[in-house]
Amino acid sequence: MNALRTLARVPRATIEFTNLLLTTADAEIGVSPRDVVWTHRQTTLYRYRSEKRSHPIPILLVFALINRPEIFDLRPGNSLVEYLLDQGYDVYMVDWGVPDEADADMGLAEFVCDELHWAIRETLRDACQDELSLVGWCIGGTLCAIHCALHSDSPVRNAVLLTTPIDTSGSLYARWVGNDEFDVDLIADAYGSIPGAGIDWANKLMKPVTNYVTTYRRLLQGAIDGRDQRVAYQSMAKWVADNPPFPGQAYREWITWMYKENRLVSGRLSLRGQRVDLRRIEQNLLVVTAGADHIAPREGTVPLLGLVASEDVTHLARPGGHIGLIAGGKAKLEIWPELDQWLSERSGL
Amino acid sequence: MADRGEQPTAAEQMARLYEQAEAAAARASERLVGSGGFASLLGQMAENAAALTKLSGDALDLAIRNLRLAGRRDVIRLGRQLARTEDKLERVLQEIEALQDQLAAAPATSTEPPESKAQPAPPKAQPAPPKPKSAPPRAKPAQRRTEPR
Repeated sequence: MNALRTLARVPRATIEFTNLLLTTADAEIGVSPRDVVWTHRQTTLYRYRSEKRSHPIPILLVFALINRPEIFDLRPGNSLVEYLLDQGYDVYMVDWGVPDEADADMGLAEFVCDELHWAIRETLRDACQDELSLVGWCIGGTLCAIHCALHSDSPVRNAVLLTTPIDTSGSLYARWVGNDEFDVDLIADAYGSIPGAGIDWANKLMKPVTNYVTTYRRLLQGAIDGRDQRVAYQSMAKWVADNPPFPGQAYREWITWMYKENRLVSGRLSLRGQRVDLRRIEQNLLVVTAGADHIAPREGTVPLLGLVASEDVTHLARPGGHIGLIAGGKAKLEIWPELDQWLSERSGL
Repeated sequence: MADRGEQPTAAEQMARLYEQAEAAAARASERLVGSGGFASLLGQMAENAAALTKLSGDALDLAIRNLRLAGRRDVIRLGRQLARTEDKLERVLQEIEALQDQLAAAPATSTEPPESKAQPAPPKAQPAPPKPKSAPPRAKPAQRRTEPR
């Protein structure tokens, strides 16, 4: 009888499943009201205004060079930005934009020493503050760590690094691109800026069955079971599919310095003639790692804890995936309150 | 249902078998993509795709140039020139803002009487000093901890 009932639901579920896939592009993400504070080339600095502002130290959110920063503000009711505003923070966010071939000359130095440095400056000017909290996620976290290491007098009071790659030895990425058969120069020269779809394909290839089969099977099963999964699925799927190109020079340097030569953790990385020494990081530091993170595995982030000079270091080792830990359905109840508690204790004058 | 002490139906058994097979396939595929052979293959595939893209791009660009039309390279070159100009403009803006800050701070610190306005203009303002990095005491005592769940 149950089997018959399930069978009867299949045509309707199939139509709903197809509809979910076909209308994903129409989902609305990143809808919290925001003001443009500053722009330079493709970079935009946004400000989200809190009506309950109670913490003077503003937060600057920095996402990776792949995918879009809207993951910080995924959808109403499940938005880290919305949550932080509700907790009384003044929130700013760097958007690296959608680089094209004209931006292929932008390397890591341009992103850290110009774009991020200037975004911090503009945030402080706009918020009329002398210090801020820097929250970096994935590559964005690495850029934040590099910034803090380069500027021991930086106005960053608190640095929060979410699922951030630091030591890439032994990672799957390093296995893929660390060998000589992966000619990063040829690829960067050929494309100018590496197509986002290619980066997305490689990311999904790390767990091929999970990404290409299980996701859709579960979606279909949910439709058969009559679960309401439209908003949650479509917002995340739309964000995952939105892949801006990776500027060629930054890609070349990221792959070579981080994966082929693993320079950051060994202290051999230099930007504009200045050595990036992680031992110069003195900020209050919160490092969040995810147990099932295959993109920035925990063992690749933990070495940072032993390197920095910070006296106040906290490591939150939590279960979850690279994105799901911070933006998943349970984040609002689990990791966000912990972030808020850590920040609130360090965001007073 | 099984949790009510009943035997699972044929459909449930099928579903469970399928999920087990899928999980096994996922584990096997992750082992496959983690192998050195796959990495080597991936590297060569990426190179092939890049080389083909470069060849086709060069051929198309040559054809467009021979038609005396602006090609992609020309557009990129113009874009880079614009970006360089914007870089310079940004640095000039930052200098202006620093000077504005310095000027705005000047009256507050000046103790000269109003007659000084009649005196010759002061020397050109120096570049703004670095933004004050007042470092209030950290709100949290020093600590180093890991909080596994």
